[in-house]
Amino acid sequence: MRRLFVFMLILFSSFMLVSAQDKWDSVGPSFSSLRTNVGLKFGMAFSGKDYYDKGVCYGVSFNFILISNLSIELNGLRFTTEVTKSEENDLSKGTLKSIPLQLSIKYQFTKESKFVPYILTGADYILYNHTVDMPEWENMGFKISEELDNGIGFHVGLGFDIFISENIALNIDGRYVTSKINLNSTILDTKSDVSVTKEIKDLKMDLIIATLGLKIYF
Amino acid sequence: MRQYFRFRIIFFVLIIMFFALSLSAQNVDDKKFTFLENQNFNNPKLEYDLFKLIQVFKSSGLQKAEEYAKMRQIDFDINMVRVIVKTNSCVPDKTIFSVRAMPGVQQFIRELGGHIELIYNNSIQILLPISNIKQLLELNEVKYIRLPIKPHLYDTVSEGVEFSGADKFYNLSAFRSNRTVKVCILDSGFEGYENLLGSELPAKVTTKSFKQNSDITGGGVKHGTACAEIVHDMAPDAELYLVNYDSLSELQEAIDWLAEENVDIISFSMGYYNAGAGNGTGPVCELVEYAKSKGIIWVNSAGNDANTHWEDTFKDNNKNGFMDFGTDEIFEFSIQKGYPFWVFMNWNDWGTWDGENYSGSSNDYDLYLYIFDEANNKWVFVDDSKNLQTGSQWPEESFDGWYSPTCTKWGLKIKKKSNAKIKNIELFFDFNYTISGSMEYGPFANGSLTIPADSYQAIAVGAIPWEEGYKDYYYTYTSRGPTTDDRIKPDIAAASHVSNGTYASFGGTSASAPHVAGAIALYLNKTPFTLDQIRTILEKRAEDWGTPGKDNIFGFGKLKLD
Repeated sequence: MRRLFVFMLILFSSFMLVSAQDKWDSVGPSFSSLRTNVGLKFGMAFSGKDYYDKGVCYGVSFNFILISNLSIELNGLRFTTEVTKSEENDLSKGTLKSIPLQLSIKYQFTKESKFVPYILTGADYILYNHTVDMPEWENMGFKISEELDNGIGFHVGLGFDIFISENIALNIDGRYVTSKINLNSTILDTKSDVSVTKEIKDLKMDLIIATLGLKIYF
Repeated sequence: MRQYFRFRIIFFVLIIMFFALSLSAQNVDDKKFTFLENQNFNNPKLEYDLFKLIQVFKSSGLQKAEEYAKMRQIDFDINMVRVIVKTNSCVPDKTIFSVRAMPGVQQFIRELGGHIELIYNNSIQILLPISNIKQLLELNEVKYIRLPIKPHLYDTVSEGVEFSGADKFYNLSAFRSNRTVKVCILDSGFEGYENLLGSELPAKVTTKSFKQNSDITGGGVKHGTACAEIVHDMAPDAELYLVNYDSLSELQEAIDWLAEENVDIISFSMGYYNAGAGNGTGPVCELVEYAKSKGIIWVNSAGNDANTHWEDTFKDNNKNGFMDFGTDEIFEFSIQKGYPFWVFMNWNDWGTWDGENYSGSSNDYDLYLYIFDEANNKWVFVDDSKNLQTGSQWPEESFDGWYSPTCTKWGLKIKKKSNAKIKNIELFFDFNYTISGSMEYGPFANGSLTIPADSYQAIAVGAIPWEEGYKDYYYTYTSRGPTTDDRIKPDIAAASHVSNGTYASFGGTSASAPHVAGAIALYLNKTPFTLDQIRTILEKRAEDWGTPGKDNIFGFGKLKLD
């Protein structure tokens, strides 16, 4: 259902952006957006699970013009969130750090405009690290550890740049990232050295990432 | 124009933010019934709790009112609430007829859609539509309306819970396991369990009797109920199965049924005598193995026979066939007047177990029972047990359920047939360990395990005190190993003589075993460890008591989860 919402939102927003871009071009000053650019971004990530806290994320992006309105974007984000509750088939309580490395193909609706809306889609390679924080178990003589495989994911997104000077633009960007990963969760009884590892396959790790950034166009 | 486009951009950003926020704002806890605060309550004829229910009904409707009533355990169903109406008495002595003398009140209640359930003195117990309580209050004859006063059961929690650290373990959030664990208390009877549902026992339990008369109470036996209470104390989230049976074939049926029901643990606080060689073989131990093969772990009380067990090699200096005991040939024992007792004798000649039967004994011994005639100062023959042992029979003799209202002194004679070889004789006297009884010789605590505590697969549990300052102490009756094949038993020890709703104080190894069964249930409920792993964990975590290492009194030591 959430995916459908996101899809509909992107579709709806695209129409709005195309319409806005036409109007804007007719009245605004001219800026060339068909240039390589590099950006810094800062924002929030939401997992959609009520026991994952919203996490602060930050990162960088590189954008290379491919042809006409199409460009390739490399995006790297770092995102940390607290898992506040242990669910049987999800991560245990603790701190999740992830670094989504994203390769996107981006379509810009304008070429010579102060306002540059775009949509994008692409693949992700996501690095994960999860530190379990369940002191109550440790106090009882158990050690819990969880290892997450790095995962492949996909994303769709949209956003826009607004030039505030000839080479500097403000960027607002929203992305929906979907991925599935494998989790190996181990509990060790330190008093008997008995341990059991439970593998959870295809754990869904979807994210919505909203960022505000600054881009330098070259 | 430009402002118009800016507006659309802002609108677009807002939409993104709205969706993002709505996704993150799921399951915001709705604080229930907060509007109950600051209510203006000023009706002296109405109980405040009932007033609050009416307020919930008025402001939030029937469904919320039902929720509220359920939370407060108020009898409220389909718009009808059970209330007590106190009326002004028209008869000074407040006899039962006082209200009945007011047909007007009753009539009015009926007119309001009420149903009169009971009338006692000035009180009428009624079911009344909640919306009509206000009208009833307006009646001059009505003095007060309140919810019925209900009795509260005292919750009794075994001290073994804290003693073992199960309370701390229970408070852990589950890790990779949230399954409902099913524990069966396999016993002879569950008298009175219904009265404890929702208090000392879970609100719902599954019961099944495999006895031919299907009597789950076992003719009024409370023992199983008391055991179930302890399992519930230890593992409050476990689903309980209360099952009783008589014969071994019924027991096998029971195990099959329990396996179908996916029961995880059997807590068995009973024991058999003369039902095996004491080396983990025999029909009962076979059923423990069978349960294990079905994925059920068996927790067994070690037995209460350390003070009532005796064994020695047959000796007969005068060659008359009767065993010598000191200077005579009679083994004296005493039992309190009026209390029944059982005597079991077996000798080490069971042969080999083939999975169905023992090859049997060809060395025939017999057992004779005497009572002491005080008036004539002589032993009087009472009974004998003379099973034949000709090569295929079990080496066992017994007396069942003898008692005397006047006499306390009894005697046994053991006779070896002339062609029988010298064997080691073992006697078990089974009488309630809480009453006084004594034996002329012994007791020999070692090897006093009851069957199937000797089983390889059963976790045998000994009894220890839970009171502070009693580390390394044990109850002298707790049965001990080794098994006849020299394995150390019991496996672990747990609290006994604990507070209990059924018995007030519940003792014996019968009380200890359910503590261990409950501990296993907790592990299964909270962790993904397998039953075999949990057994190892319990053994390794046990606090070593007595002789360092596993020993024949405490096993690995005191049950300890924390």
